[in-house]
Amino acid sequence: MTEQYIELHANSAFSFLRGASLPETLIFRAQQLEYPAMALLDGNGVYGSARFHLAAKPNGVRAHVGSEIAIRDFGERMTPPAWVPHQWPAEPVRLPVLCETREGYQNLCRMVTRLKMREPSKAEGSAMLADVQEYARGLVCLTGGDEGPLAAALTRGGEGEGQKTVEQLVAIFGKENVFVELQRHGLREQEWRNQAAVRIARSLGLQILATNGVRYADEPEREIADLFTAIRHHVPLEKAGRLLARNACRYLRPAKEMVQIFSDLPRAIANSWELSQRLKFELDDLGYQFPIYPVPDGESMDSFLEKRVNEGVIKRYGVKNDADLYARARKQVEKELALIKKLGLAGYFLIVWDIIRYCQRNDILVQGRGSAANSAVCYALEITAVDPVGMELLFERFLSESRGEWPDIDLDLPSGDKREQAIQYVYQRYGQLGAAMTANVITYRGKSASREVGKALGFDIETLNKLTKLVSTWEWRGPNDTLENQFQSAGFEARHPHIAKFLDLTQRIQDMPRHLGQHSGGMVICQGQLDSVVPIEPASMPGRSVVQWDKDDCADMHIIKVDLLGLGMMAVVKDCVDLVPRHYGVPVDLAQLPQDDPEVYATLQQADTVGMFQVESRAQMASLPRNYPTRFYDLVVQVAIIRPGPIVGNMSNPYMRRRQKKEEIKYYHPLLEPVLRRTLGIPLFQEQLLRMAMIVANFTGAEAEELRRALGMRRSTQRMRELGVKLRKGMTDNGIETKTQEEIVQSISSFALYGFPESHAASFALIAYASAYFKVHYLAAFTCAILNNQPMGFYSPAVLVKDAQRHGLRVLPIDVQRSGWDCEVERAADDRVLRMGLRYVRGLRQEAAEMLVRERERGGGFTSAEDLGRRVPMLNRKEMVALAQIGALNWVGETGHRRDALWQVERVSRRPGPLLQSAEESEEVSPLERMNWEERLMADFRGTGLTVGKHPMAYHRERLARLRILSAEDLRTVANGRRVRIAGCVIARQRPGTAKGFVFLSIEDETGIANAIVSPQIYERNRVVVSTERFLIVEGKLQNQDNVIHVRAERVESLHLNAVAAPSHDFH
Amino acid sequence: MSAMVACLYAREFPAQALLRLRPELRRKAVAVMEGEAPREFVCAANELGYQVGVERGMTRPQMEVLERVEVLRRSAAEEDSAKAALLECAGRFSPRVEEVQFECALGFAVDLSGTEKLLGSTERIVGKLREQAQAMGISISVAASCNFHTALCWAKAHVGAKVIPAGEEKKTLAPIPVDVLALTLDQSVTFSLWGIHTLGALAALPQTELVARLGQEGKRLHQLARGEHPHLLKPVEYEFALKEEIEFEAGVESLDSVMFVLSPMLQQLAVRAEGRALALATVTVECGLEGGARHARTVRPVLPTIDHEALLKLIHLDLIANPPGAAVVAMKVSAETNRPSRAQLGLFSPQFPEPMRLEVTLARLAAVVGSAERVGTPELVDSHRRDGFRVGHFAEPKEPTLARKERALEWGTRSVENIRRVENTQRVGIRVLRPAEAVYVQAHGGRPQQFVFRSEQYLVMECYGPWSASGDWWGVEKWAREQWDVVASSRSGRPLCCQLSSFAAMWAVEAVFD
Repeated sequence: MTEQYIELHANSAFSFLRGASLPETLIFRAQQLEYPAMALLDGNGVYGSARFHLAAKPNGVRAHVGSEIAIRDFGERMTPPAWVPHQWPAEPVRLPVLCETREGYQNLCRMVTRLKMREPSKAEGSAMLADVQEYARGLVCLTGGDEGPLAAALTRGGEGEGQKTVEQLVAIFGKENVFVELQRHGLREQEWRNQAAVRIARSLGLQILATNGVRYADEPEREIADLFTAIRHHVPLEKAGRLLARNACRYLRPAKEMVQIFSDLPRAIANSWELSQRLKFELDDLGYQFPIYPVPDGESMDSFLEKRVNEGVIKRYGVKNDADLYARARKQVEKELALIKKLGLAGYFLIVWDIIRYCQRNDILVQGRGSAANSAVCYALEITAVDPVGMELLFERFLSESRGEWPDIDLDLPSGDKREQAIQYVYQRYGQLGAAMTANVITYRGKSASREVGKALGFDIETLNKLTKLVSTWEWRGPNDTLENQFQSAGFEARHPHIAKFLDLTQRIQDMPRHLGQHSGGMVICQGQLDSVVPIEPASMPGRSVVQWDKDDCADMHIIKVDLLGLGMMAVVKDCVDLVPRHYGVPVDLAQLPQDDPEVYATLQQADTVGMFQVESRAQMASLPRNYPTRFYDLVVQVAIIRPGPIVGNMSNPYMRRRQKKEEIKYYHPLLEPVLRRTLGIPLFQEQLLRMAMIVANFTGAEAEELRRALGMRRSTQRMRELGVKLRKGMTDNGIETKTQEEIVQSISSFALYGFPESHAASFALIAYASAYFKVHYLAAFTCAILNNQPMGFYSPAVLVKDAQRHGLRVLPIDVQRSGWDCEVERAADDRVLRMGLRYVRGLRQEAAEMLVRERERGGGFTSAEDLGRRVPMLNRKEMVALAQIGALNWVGETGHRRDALWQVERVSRRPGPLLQSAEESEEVSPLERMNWEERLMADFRGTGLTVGKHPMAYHRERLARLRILSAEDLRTVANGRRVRIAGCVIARQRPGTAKGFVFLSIEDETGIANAIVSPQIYERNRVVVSTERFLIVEGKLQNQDNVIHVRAERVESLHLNAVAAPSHDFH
Repeated sequence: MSAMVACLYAREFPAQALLRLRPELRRKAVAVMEGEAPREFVCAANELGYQVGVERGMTRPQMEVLERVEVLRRSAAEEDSAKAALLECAGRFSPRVEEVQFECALGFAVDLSGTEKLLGSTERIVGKLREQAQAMGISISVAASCNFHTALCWAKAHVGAKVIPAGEEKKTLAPIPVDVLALTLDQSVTFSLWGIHTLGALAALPQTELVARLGQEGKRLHQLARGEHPHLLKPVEYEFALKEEIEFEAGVESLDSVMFVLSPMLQQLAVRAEGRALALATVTVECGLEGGARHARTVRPVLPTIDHEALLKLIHLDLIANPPGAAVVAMKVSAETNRPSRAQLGLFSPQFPEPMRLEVTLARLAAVVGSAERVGTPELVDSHRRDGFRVGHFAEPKEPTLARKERALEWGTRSVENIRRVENTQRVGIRVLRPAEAVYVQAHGGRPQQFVFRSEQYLVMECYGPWSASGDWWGVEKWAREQWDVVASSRSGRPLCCQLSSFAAMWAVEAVFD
């Protein structure tokens, strides 16, 4: 007799909406109960296994891997008999299997992949008996609990049927690998089945096994399990009836309790221990190998990589004519290559290089970002564009020997088709089962949690909607923005038992997994078959597949991933690279853009940055004049400084003051001066954090990187504490005072979570600089590119057009005789002008527009609306009207004005019968009056969302001047502290989390953009006006600090102009 | 002289209908909402309401922002009453009245042809129409014209009364906004794009070209705008509705007195239904009570019937079981009809009780036991809760089938062989004790050892369990219990098989096995 019971059948919350505890919670409880091992069997996959394994390891628990596989051929799972009212739907039985060996695990992954990939859509899926037969090796099978095949067979046909089913399992898995499972949840019917199961086991000479079919760690979590059941079946709890558990027995029971429950069957307990001993496989032994890159004969991957790198060094550094830099680069590259060789990572770099080459060959702009930019090898292979040697970037942030972690390379690609093309290339190159996207676990958050819980508790729709709306969507949450207070303000009593339960459940399911999504760009690739490492399933997007682990799990399981991310600005830069030579006759080489262009820096210094990458937001504009960038590195800092990390850590303002020489440059400790000199004594980058830890506390590079990760991740509080202690001890050893130690620890921890790696900031700064360069020198091309790649960035097309016009660009309206689908650059006299494209006509289908353009190119311009209608029959009435109302037909035939066109298209689009086909219109000119400016403006905004004519505010300037309202331009000349009134169209509203409830408004008029700051008090008083009105008048004191101009709102009111409604960009 | 038509138009009718009987609200801002939550929206308001910012289509949360606005729900019944009143008012001037349907307004067209000699000039009639409607608490606009649509358009667009002389239709209509024509969204957008904002502008467009663009609809709209579109008056017809209402001068407390009044009302309904070859499927009696409360009861005989005496008995028994609780001051009886039932009894089929008599008997039983929910056939419900059943309407028992025989068996033992086997063996009977009988139990380690049941002490010989169950944890009716199947023997050697349950240290015998 032993008390050594091991739980070998548990579901976590990753058995979506079945299990009620996270894998980490189960392990935590297992550790408390002193379980030496435990098995997790999530439904149709190993979704929670990586987290289970990672949590188990440091806690001294062995994590067994398995799964509950839905199998169609064993019939439907047990349900109550038909005469008992119930709502159980027909579901296939679930067969629990445990992985005994690595082969077993690989078979399990393949089996799950096959059953998942067989589904035409994203569905749970089920395996066939043939799949189980094929992949049974290395797996141990249990006969299952209520959901298992034995219970189903016993219910269906009694003991005889049960015996047949078990015999079938024995035939598949072998006698030693089938365990007759017994569960005791205090249910009479279950006990009958147990007695039958014991008799069957005895008659077939099989071992019995006690399990508790665990669904949650602790008894109270039964409520969550019931809640999930209700959500899964779309019924409120009140009406769920027998779908719910009959009692709360499926928790992780102490071994002693299990021994007592099974005191009549001690063998069942003893077998759990023995089976656990047999299960040798753990996820450490995953057998993952990164694919080998095919190299020519006589070459190894290392030698091949070395040659490519050397070529790259010559190409990249040779042109710089700097012998010292070249020598340093050579040295760095040698060091990196040696480490890459030692770690066996040459294949990885070659594979990424291969993707880069594919992109280059196929005219796809690509640039590495993130920590990869710290590597000279990546720079030489043209993976990244930042010179890490020249910028003295820290290689250890990217890769270090002792970290035991694969490097991570993120590639930015133009959003849209080009990125998809690159992703499909990877699939094609490594096969559908050799590469897949990483998963993104969608969890219950405030809104989704309260909605689902509310539904389950039977709240009426009105209440539900009220609550969901109340969950504030603004980023900033005041101290009173709790769910309880939302209830109070909505007129509910938070202490009412029903409401209290709602709040309780809503909070308890926060962060519980809901379903699996697809990560935006993370791809994992594997030597051999990825489907034997982790199951793959189809993603909702056609042509994509996704692994069952998220990117953190993949990283923790040492699976290499490449992020292929979409970046709108990359597409804009790419378009500029095409447009500039074509229309300006100037060749453009992105790598050789002059980095010290004074015009670019002057523009940046004035914060004239609408449309520029990373530096166009209101907060960036507010800091640019203070930081006054004069060289590329200033831009790197600029990109990094407006981030939650530096702002929360109170580093942005000291940096700006020091930059303006308003504050003395100090260092936490003299030792840190070399590290922090470039950022004026303020740590802004993750690399600095690493170096600081290395210098002040004698950390190795790897330890420092571990510290950064520990601070930034949720899973390792224990490790974080240990490293914190070590950090302080190191500093004490180096004789650093306690006060200074505190400052250093504070600065390190505050931005570890959000801070940028310097290399990443440098990569982004390159794109930011390129965007600024194009905007300053080739405005028509830049505006054209950015308008063709919407939606992206901070501002709407209407704002971008007005900004370009203020900078002197002539923007021509949409014209069916000239416009293409995209906006285009045209020559007018000596200048370049921008022609708006048909893509901006709301309601016009692309195929119809393309047909129009083809027909125009084939047969010349259109002579009348009639001609247009006849030659482009695909255009329907609504599309013709859409074109006419915005004036796109004004240049067709004799058309005089928009209403002429509207009058004509109505006739054209209602084609008469053959009898009247040739009948001529009696009047040539329409009886309709010409639109006035207000009507034209409205038609423009309604039809295209923007106007190329005058700004709506320009028409009202006289009236506004009488009201003593100043324009945005006027504000520049007003003295600081004076009371002013401004008015305009709200183009952006922000309530950032770091701004303590202040609302920032960007208000545009015909002269530019003015900024207003609304305090929480004023906001509360004018909530509706501030958050919904399109046109506002703001009155308050002008604040002009270092040419950063704001109006601190004291009064806010709506400005009634007309029905023009350019949408603002509200940031939640 | 051509026929003259007067059009009455009551705008914001849902609000007017409600305010008609609530004079105290007329000086306040009032908005009327319709639709099911959460899609409720404002469908009408009074002028004060619009002045404080109410707009049509506003939702409940938007309304909550506005202060000092009385929000009422749209009432079809009150609109019906108001409509009937206005119809009656119009009917006083002409027997030919047509109702014009609007979403949130009410219109009537009154054919005034030949009424001048009887009632005076058209101007006088129009004025009187307005006055009389006002006296009923409904404010209307009235216009009279030889062209029905002209009159209607004017009344829709203006407040007041007007007689439009023949030949001046086009001129009168010219300044009126084009939206008065109830355009489709498409037409409205087109006119807006064309810059056509008034009927005058529409009338000025060349008709042929308009037809080429808008089809025959264009022609219709053009004629409407010129006051030339013809109309054939369709007088309203009486609608058949089985309703009888009565108001008492003083509250009636005796149920017998109520029944005395109810009898001829029911008889009337039955006779009227019979006259149309229909029978009464449901009868609803709604009693207005002292204090403003209402007490409504509906009886549904198993089959539609015209036996008013049986119906009276059913209602009587229902009211005995569910008395009004206060003196009755008004009573409204309404009925829904259906085809009368006809049953052909088989010569050899068993004789069932006559349906109406069975109904009366069941109603009598319900009156005795206090509630209809206590008489009928027990049905299982979808719940783990002990005694998870409800009482459904009585249904005659059916011949047991194989499936029903399964009930005798536990889950998991179902198979044809098992059923046959069990049929051939002696069945175990279980008597559930309702309520369970509390017992004193001596337990060891949570398991019962001995207990006293019905004054006799039993020693537990065998004990299986605990079988645990719990549920409804989300509400106040949370429950949990543990059950044991016990084989016990008394001191005198008397055996007892029973189910013992425990909850919060309280023990009870829930069932005994025969």
